Amino acid sequence: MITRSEVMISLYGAWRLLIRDPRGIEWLDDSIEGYWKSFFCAIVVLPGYGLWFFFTVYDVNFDAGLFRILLVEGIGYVIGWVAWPLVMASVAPAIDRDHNYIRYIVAYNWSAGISIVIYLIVLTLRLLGILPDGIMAFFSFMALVIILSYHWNVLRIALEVSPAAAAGLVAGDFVLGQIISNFSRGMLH
Amino acid sequence: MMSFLRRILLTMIGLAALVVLEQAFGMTTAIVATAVCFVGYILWLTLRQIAEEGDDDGSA
Repeated sequence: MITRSEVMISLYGAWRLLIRDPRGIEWLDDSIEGYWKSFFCAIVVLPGYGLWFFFTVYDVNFDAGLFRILLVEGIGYVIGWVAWPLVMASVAPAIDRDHNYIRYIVAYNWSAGISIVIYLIVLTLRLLGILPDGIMAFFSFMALVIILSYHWNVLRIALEVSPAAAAGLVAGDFVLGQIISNFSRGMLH
Repeated sequence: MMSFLRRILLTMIGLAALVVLEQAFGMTTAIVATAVCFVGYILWLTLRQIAEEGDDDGSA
């Protein structure tokens, strides 16, 4: 079982990676045990994801009831957490980076804890209603750019791939996330 | 290591398929489909077990 201090240390490592400090990776546990523990971040992120979903997606008029929404979103959430590590389990050996695979997935999983904070900051600004819609759209776009460049940086440091390969993998993760998200939203109409 | 993640993914895909089935054809169809898939799964496990035992007998 993961301890509170392990969670805090891992999130700190992920934070260091956000500010482009390569030594952030040293704060993460890249053992097999650390690999499985990093999936605990799905529990850490869940309340934030729930808030984000409630205020940005749930207000859209779905035909489905609350039970179906929770079921479908729950399925989508779990698939979202396991799909990319499975894809990378095949991609990493193909690009001769299988020795860095565990380290990368640990960093990738914990980076979700930082990414959700970025989304929640944008959500808070939107809910406060102090900024015009145009500025909010710009902030939302900037949040997306920061998160994508964060993933690119994690790939460069943890997986040690070239800039172009990192960009391709970021695009692959983004497209996979969109497919899962759109499919689950489609099941609610 | 990957087989555990793969099983989680397949279980979730199966659940999603069940939700789609329920949405399209109703609860009765979904329950019948679940029952048929469960019986099929048990049958597949049994046949696999029989085949493995047959292999063991052949090699002994």
